[in-house]
Amino acid sequence: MTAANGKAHVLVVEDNPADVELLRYALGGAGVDCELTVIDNGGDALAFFEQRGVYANSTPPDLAILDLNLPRYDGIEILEAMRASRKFADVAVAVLSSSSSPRERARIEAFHIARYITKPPNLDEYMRIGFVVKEMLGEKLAS
Amino acid sequence: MLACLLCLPRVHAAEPPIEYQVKAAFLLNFTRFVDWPPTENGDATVSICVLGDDPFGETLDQVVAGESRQGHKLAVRRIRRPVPPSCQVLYVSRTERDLPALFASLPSGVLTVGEGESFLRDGGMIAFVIENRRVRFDVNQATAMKAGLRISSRLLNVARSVQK
Amino acid sequence: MRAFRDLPIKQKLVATFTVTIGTALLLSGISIVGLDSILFRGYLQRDISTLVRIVADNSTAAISFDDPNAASETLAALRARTHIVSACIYRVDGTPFAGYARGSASPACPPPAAADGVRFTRHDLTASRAIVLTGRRVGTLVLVYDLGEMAERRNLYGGLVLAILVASAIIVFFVSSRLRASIATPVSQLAGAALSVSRTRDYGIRVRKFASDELGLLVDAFNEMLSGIQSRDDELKTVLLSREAALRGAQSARDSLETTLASIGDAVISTDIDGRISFANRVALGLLRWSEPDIRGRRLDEVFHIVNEYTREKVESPVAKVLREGAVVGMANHTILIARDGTEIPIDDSGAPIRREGEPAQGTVLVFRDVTARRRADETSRMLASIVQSSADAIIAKDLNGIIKSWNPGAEHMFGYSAAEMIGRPIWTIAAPGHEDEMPRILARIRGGEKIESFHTVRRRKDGRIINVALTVSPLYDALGRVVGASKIARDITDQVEAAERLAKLNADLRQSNEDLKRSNEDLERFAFVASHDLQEPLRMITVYSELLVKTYAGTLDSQGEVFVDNIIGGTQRMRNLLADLLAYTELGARSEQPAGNVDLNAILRMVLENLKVAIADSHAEISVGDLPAVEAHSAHLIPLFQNLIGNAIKYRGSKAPVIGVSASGSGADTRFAVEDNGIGIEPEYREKIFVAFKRLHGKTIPGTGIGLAICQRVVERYGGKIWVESAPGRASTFLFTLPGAICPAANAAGGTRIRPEQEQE
Repeated sequence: MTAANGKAHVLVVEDNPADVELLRYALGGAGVDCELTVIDNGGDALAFFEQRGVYANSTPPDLAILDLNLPRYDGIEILEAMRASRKFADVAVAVLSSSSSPRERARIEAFHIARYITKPPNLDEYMRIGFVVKEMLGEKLAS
Repeated sequence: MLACLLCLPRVHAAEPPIEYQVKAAFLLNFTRFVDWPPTENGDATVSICVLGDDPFGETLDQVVAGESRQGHKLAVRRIRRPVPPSCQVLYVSRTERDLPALFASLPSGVLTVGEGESFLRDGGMIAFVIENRRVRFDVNQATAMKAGLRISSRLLNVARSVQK
Repeated sequence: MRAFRDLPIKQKLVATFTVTIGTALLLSGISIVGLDSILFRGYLQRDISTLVRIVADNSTAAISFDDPNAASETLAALRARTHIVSACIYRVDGTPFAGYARGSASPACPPPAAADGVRFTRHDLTASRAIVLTGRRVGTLVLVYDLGEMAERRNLYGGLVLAILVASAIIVFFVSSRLRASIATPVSQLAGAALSVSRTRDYGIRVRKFASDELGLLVDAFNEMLSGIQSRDDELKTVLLSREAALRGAQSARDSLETTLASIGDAVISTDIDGRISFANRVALGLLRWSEPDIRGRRLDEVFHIVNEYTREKVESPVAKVLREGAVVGMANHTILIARDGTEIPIDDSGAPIRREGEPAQGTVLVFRDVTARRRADETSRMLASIVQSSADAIIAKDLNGIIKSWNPGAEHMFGYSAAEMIGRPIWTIAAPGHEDEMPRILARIRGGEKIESFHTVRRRKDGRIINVALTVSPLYDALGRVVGASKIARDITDQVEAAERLAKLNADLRQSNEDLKRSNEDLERFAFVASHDLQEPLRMITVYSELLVKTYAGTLDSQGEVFVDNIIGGTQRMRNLLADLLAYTELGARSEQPAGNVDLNAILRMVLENLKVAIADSHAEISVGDLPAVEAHSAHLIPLFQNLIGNAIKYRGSKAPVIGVSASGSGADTRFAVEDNGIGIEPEYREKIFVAFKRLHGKTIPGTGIGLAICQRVVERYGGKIWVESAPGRASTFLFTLPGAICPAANAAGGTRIRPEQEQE
């Protein structure tokens, strides 16, 4: 669960490095001290959850932040693979999406998403994501 | 008094006075349906004896007063052990213990009446029981016959149960 | 008694026997039934008393020990006696203790009587008995017993008496009929014979003699009298019959001649030698308009006026000619008979003398007939022939083998062949290549009596040109109703067919270009949607990183640098608004997945005003909202509609604070919505352009994407409505629109459920 160094472990699946950078900034702004694993494409995300290749020894993170709009693989496929595996089935998931359409929310409803976050259009709201993650990690940060 | 008792559509057994008013009337009525063996002394009185604590109070005296059986006057007596030989009907109160010994000591020709189903098991003849809040009675015909008593089939008909 | 006296003897005998024996039997029967009733009552009374006593005795213990169940069981034993209706035991105070009732009825007994006893009523018997225990009454038994048994016995004995009565009646009947054979039968036969002779006049009847007693003598005398009468009657009859036969022969000969003349179809008039009418048949009377009694004896000249049809000159009566020439004469054609009432009837006629062989004429006979119908038929066929000749359609007759029998000028013109060429040739001369088998098939259907209508096909002209024709082919019948050929009417529809083909091609081209246009439009919309959606992503990045830049390097940028970054942020903000509106606009074009709901516009207005809260506060706008109906629509469409209109009214304000009114007027599909303001107004030449996307009247001085009104128009048109603007430039504008497809009829009809929204006050 918690990384070897005792920090909370957060997995970020996001193809846009600018968004990853902002996320890091927001987490730092909220004072979240965690180990961040970043995967920038759907294929690697599937490999992580199915424990293949370089991810053969992957461990469940404390939180997974998923962008649903990934090249090559659909976010739904990744969620399916994750919930189907025994090891990652219970991982808390926050979905980060550029779309706020109710249709997309309906599509992923079955996967028990803890948070649905629309990518914010300005810096202030982006900073707030850091506090949302902090709240989700809760006591795992205490150590 | 008797007429009034019989006119009660339902006897409230939970209230002791009424329960024993009914039982007093029944006790009198038993004498109508039981034949005693002929006695040599030809005593003029038929005695209904109450053994032990008397639950009837005045009631039984009032019910029996002025009644007779085949020309013989009826009378109520309250007695202690040993039972005097002049008792034709012996009502055994709930307070009495060691009934088998009591019955063994009785002469023949005494109709024993008591309370509860155990009374028959102990060797009694007629036992009052309460069923559906009504006073009923069980009869042990065999015991009565052994004592030389003949119980009318009409009485047996209205008994709750009859042991033969 | 008089009736009895008039009865026949045999019935008198039977009646006497029957009454005597019947009376004796009836009396004895009644006595038996009566006696039994009395005896049975006594028996019943004793029986029931005993029963009641037994039951009462058996119930003493039950009642003494207050055990209704035991008493009921005792009573239930009464079931064995089916006539016991019910039995009840009452306590000594008269309250019911136990009961029994026959069947499943609830016991119903009379109240207990003080005294014991048995009481009879009409239908039942009630027995009452005290229940006594050692000389003391402890209760009462009451028992009701129905007397059905008594009725049963009465019926049984009554039936028995009746059966004996019937049996003895039968015996009496047989005995008395034996008896009457010797007395009554001969007398009634004699009476019957006399009656039958006087009724039928048949004197051959004789009565049979049974015995030689007084009745026998009477029979002999009667028979003798009859034979005397019979012989005289026969003679008379023979004379009468022969006279009658002679008379009848003469009559029938005349009748048959008259009948023949009267019933033939031609008019017949006969005259005597002087020309006076002696006979006119029905047809003649009808044509001349005369009646039979009036015409008899008149001279023929008086009633039979004939003229020549063309010259109108009087024609000589054929009768005069016959009398003069003594021979049969025919009549000239075109003779018109002028009837008594002036009616003119064309006739054929002829006259002939009436004479016996070798003798001079005794009179004449005139025969004529109405030829009106034949004339009319001639005229009709002449007319039809000229129609056929002048028709522009080809009219052709052919026989069942397809051989042409007639060919009108229309056909000559249409197919290029003359009548002389075609008559006698087969119809397939004009078959177009590839259509050769059509004609035999048409002929086969015609043979079956079928008519072919508006059959569109092609034929070949003599010059080889193919023409389009519409055919109507009908069977031709002979006088016996057999199909002998076909008439064919062909119309040249080549021009029509070509015009229709041109039209169809034009329509197809139009549909194709319509579809192309629609597809390219859809492509464009899809492109706009995707573009505006995807463009938002990089824009978001520019905005956020610009903000991050300002935040992180706030101190290090100089004032010019900050202006640059502000411009970047402002530009991206405008672009984002533009994209959001564009997205909203293209989404409006898409079909909605959710069905439209019933939307209260007053609620929509509340949401819109909430969205515009900041703008309203900043501009000190005063907004009043009237009663608005509910509509059947998507609120996602209605919010931008009102928000853009009110937003514009705030945005394009003049120097004064905006005063804006939202209202609805009219009802049903005619409901008209209005958003009016006191703003800068719109010049007339721009009033249509403003609804086109990206058309803006104002530069960057008033921010805007140029899509708001295009969205409004799209929403309104989606619900089948119209949007337009009325304006006084510099002073006010009113945007008006309708939503016919969204108006719910119910909500409008009710009219009373509208919510009055709170007025916005600044």
